Amino acid sequence: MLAAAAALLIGAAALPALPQAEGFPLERAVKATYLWKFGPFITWPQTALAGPDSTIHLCVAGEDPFGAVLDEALAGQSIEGHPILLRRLARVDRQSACHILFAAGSPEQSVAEALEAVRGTPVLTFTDAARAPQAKGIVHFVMRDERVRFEIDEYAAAENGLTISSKVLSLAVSVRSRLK
Amino acid sequence: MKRRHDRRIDSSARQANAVAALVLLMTAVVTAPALAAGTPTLKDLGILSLEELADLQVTSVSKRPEPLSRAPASVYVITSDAIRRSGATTLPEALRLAPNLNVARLDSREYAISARGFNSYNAANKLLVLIDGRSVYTPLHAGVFWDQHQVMAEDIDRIEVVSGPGGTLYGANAFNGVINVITRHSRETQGGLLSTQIGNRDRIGALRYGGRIDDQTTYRGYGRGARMGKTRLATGGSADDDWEPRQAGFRSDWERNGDAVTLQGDFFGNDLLDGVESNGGNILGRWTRQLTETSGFELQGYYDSVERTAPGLDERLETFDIAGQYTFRLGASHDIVLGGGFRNSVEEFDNRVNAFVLRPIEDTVRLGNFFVQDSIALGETVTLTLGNKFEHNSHTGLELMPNARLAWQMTENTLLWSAVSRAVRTPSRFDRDLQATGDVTLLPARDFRSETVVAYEAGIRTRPSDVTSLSVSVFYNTYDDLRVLEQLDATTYRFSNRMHGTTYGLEAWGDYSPRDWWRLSSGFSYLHKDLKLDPGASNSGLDQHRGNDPDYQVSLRSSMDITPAIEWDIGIRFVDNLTAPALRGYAALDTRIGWDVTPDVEVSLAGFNLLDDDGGHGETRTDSVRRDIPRSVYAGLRMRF
Repeated sequence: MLAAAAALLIGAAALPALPQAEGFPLERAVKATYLWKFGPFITWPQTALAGPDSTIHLCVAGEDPFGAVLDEALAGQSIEGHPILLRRLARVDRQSACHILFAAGSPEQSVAEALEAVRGTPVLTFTDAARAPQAKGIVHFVMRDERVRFEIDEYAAAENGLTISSKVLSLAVSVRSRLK
Repeated sequence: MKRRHDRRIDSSARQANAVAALVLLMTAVVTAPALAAGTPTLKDLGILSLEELADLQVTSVSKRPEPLSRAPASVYVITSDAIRRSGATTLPEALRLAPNLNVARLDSREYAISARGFNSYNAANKLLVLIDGRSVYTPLHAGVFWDQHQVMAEDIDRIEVVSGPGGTLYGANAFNGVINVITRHSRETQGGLLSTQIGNRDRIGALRYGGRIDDQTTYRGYGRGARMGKTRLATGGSADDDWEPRQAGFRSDWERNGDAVTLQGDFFGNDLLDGVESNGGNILGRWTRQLTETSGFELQGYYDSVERTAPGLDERLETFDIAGQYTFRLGASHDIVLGGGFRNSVEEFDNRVNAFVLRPIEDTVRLGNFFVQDSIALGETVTLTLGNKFEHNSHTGLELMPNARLAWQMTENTLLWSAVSRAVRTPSRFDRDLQATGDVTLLPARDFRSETVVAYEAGIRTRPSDVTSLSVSVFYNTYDDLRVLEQLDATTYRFSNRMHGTTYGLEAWGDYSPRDWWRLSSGFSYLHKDLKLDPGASNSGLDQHRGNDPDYQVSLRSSMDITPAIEWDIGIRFVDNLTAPALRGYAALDTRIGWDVTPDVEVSLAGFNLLDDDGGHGETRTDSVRRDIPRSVYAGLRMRF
């Protein structure tokens, strides 16, 4: 009886890999949308966003998991009037001048290294538990109940000089307090 | 791996509760037209609000075509947050949080749990309990040996408690309700966790470690051991019912594209009383594949083996179960679920202690079932669900469990539903094979039939304001062929199906958040039973089978986040008197305060039955065998590493 159950499972795993489904997995699309949807709920310091028309730089550092999905998600979008510029970088540092950063990690610069490199600069960092569970940015994507949710590190936000609206905090599955 | 557990009463905790999910309901209704036509485009996603994005299900294969908050049934979801805040360390204690369940603790180890009546140690057989799809009620007497299921409370994602027949989707024994315990995906339990609670009665320690093998594969393993303390004798003094459960297990998950495979298992060895033990294990595999946006299938198989031994008594149960279901959309308005399964149970009960034996000692029951359910969208706001399950039992033959449900999304915040269903409880081994000879003769009831119920239900789920939610369900059940113990002459007895009757009642629960950090919850249930013997049936006077049910239960709870790091919950429940046999009603006060000393360390202090003195209160059974549940406290520690 146990053998029958095991055979069933082995059979399943031995199936040839399905061709990539047409279109995109919804999970990736939702994460790409979050990258700019958070914008209106974040307050950057004056020095980072000079005027109401200054461009917001949205960077992806490392091995970009989004591809065309992110370009399409950002097409025609803006954050409270600020145009969005998408930049793909191999590595980031203090001079990168990104306002929003998705740290994807790569052999060249790990997620944790990328986060450390921009700490203290006014950048909203995003990480994904599915890629690197240990390294967490200010916003850390987690899957809950088949939905893309996120954890917020308010302490890290404060370190980077950013404030986060309580609306976002109330939607997070967990918040690391800004109080130490 | 440092993972911070939920800290606040935030929207995610509320959203997880089906009742409190009307914000989701609103967004689901708003976004449904845009997304119903297939894959949402990035443009569609761009229009959604943050809440709507957070609520979007990104994989769509699930047992129900619609989210729980839209299910036309009386469903209460116990979230993992609620379990943590209540301080419950075992499954039956966590079930106390459901207002639509009657949980009566018999002694240190055993519980009688039922929904909508018929609760008693012998007759609490009308509920189907599942853990991750594995049925855990025993065909021996159709109840649950709760000591065999010592899951780690921290591994529970949620518990869905459905009161009312779940026959079509869940099958026989989902007679008065279904309890579906769902554990967390292993990607959500990464890293190490040490959890221990030490108190004046119970001492529990558990360790879990979760890891990731690659991008697609995660796993966890756990071990849990405890010493559960004694309860009190009704006549005073300590009962000698302390016991030690020990359980360990694992879960591993693999995902890629639309495929998800889970393999999980547990094994346990419990010392129950002197010389009494239970041990066993199970292994379960599940494969879910999403085919298109609106279709998919799931295949699941498990093997479960348990053994209970005492001096002169051996019981063994071996189950093999395989089930599958296929969900798809037909046309524009039909969401169809087709499914089936097969279960083979070998049960052995060898009693050499007294005259009550099962003949044959060993028996095999084969169950096969096939079901179909169609959810039809009649217009934008009304859904009609029709379904039927055909179940074939090797003892009683073919059983039919049809049901029809209507759901009307009256406004964005209000759902009205009604249902008619038929369910059966197929005979357990005790029903058919139990016999005795000697001073008292019990004749076996070989022709014992299935009990049947036709349930008429209706309910409303509403969110009158942003901070309040309410759910009310009413039901009227007609029962037939209920088990009764008949007395044939001075010393001869026999089980028969010659009892019938009706019950009706109401279940209600609601939430109110006067502040962001404070939620008040309440629950209420009322039951009226009218059970009669069939004409000509001889009453043995032993009323166990009618169940010993309180007319009403009330619960109130306050949940506060005093600071972002300190949470305090306090709850009180009032349970009405029992009448057959008589037992005074009681009030129980439980409270827990938890403090996140660091993001990875939580300490807590919890107290239960604080209104009781050391003598405790009884929750069921008669004076001579009653055990009273005394006051208990514990200090707890949870540490991630």
